[in-house]
Amino acid sequence: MATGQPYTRLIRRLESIGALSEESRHFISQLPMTVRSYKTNQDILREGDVPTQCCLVVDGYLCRHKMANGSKRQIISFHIPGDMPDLQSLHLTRLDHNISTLGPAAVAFIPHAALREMLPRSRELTHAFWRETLVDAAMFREWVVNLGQREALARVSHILCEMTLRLQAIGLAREFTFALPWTQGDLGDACGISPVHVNRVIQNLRARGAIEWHAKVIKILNWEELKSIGDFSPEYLHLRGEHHDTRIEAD
Amino acid sequence: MTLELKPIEVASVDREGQLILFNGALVGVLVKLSNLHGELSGRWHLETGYNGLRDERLTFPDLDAAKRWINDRLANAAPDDATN
Repeated sequence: MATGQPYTRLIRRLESIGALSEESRHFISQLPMTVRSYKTNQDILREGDVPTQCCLVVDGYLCRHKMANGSKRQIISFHIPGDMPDLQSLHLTRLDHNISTLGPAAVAFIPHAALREMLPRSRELTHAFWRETLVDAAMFREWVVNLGQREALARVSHILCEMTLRLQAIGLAREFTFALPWTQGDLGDACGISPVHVNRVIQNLRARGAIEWHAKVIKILNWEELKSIGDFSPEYLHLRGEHHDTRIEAD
Repeated sequence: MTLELKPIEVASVDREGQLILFNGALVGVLVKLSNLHGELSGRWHLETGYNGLRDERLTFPDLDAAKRWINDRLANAAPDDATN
């Protein structure tokens, strides 16, 4: 699934929410990155860690999560290639959540020192990273609404819509089809519902002809229907132009 | 102190349910998982409950196992534990 150098993932992600100059792309291409492979459900970072580098998803999926009552996992965000889920560690020393893989994943590590050296030299990249953290916050706001006010069917549908557009923006969802190695338990932990409820929702979406989900590949059969069920409006993702919603198509 | 299960039809893909009554009061609902649930098919799922019975991830192989867990949980519940 991964193509080219790890930094191309980051460039593609940043360009999906704002323009980058040739100079900015060059700066990013010069960042030192160490790539490591992980198996499914492996911790990348744990709550309380004090990272000295940021991680960049190169391949696969990561999630941020916290434990409630010591045993119940709440997934608070999903991360796809090009995302830097611990970008905050540049300025917030101690991690306040866990970061783990969902399925096998490849992760590149970029030393904080290299980012701190690069950003003052590029006003454009400083703004790009700032914009990235603001979009991150916008997604959290949407997730609060999703968990607090939508029913199980809409919660799951909303997350599937979000993943479709985010993956499309980095070229990993073609013709509304993408790999999704999550278990129903993973999706339940993101939606605050049990795996049994997730299964009922998936059966419902299948029966309505909205999705197919087989062998860890999901195909959105009726995008408008899924959006409607999920009460989904893509503005909060702040994707630029060609990545935006209805212009979704195979690339 | 009596625990009683009362069969009830459920308006869901899983149609077979049991109301859980403790001293005549509703404390939870069990639903038998249909063949749409893969390896969980045939097990009883605790859909919801009151007085410490709420754990939506729990399933039981049969109603006797469910009753044992419910009795144990209710015996250990604080008297005023009615917040969930």
